[in-house]
Amino acid sequence: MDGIIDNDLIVARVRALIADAVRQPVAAIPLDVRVDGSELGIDSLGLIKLTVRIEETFDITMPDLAAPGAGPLGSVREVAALVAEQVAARQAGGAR
Amino acid sequence: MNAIAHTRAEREANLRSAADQREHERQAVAAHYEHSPEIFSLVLDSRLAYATGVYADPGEDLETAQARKYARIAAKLDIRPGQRVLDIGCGWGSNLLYLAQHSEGVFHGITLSAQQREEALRRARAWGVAERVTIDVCHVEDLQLAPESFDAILFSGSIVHMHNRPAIHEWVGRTLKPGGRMLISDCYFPVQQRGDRDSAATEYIFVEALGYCRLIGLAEELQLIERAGLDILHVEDLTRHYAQTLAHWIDNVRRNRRTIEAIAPGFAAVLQQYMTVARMSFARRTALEYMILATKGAPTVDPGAWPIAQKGGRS
Repeated sequence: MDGIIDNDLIVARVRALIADAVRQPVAAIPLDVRVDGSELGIDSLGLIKLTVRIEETFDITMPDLAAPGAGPLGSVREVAALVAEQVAARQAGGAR
Repeated sequence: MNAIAHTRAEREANLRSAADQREHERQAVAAHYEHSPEIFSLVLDSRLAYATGVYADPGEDLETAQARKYARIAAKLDIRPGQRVLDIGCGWGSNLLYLAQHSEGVFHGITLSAQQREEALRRARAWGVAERVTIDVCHVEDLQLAPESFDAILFSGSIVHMHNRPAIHEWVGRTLKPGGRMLISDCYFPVQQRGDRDSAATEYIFVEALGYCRLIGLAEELQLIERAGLDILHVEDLTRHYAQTLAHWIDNVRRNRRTIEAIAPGFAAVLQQYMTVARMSFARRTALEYMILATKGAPTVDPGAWPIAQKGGRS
């Protein structure tokens, strides 16, 4: 993804990727719902595919799901914030 | 065939004739490995080992860990001048060519992938060992070899693709010379089930990404080896090492995503996804990685004399 992208755009794109993963309209994905919770019902493979899609889309590295003590992914808003943080770090550090 | 099935793919395999399953493996397993060697050269170590390395410490790089693994396999197989070595599922020749360069043995490899054979033979020529290396595209069950014709048989990350394990081990038992060695480095299920073996993630890695995989329990494999007349010499757990190896591969996929996508659209995601499933399975020990060494008759190596490194200064 090229150019500077703002946080609202990141939230919208992350939400769209999640909606795509659960085959639901974007409007059906509340920002406060947990991405890895039972409400969305994404299984472990679905979460892996989603994180790979996010990495591809934003050219970032998501947290290692297999790291010892790896935490849950959190809400849609929290995942978007994490993505925004990584995107900002990448833009500050130049293209990989 | 009447094997215990852990997954949907295995239950389907049990319903096929042995010949039909062999055909299924030939097609389904080859597909993954037929991708361009250029892709795998961006992800794996320089010799293209598609198997775990052995790490002395967590900060080590992939190249060092794979070099340690090659040397470990060479020490375990202890190939003497003129001895004949068979590498079943030789891939791009990682172990086979290392062993050819570090011994005076004679080597035959088989793979289901013509791309792998071509790359391995190209490397054999480049590294000056081509006169002692032959490689065929062949299913293991189609090999026509004289009894007691090989001194060592190696399976590194390959026996997992073979459904008909009793037949494989009986064949190994017949084909090894007295004093011959068999080495397996592969993936097993813990006997007490952890995790869902019929999950979408399991199906993804065993079928969608890798064509056909059959994980059995370590004890089941060992029993089949013993029934074929071999003695188990040494077994070591490399589960943690595979989790670490996969972390390096995944980072390499990330770094080379655009190049991989340009060669094979969609394949970078397949690699990262299946490798992440595998990494999580090894990290959580829902799957286990073992290296097994067995011998036909009196052993030529003595595992009891192998050093076990002591940590710290205390004796």
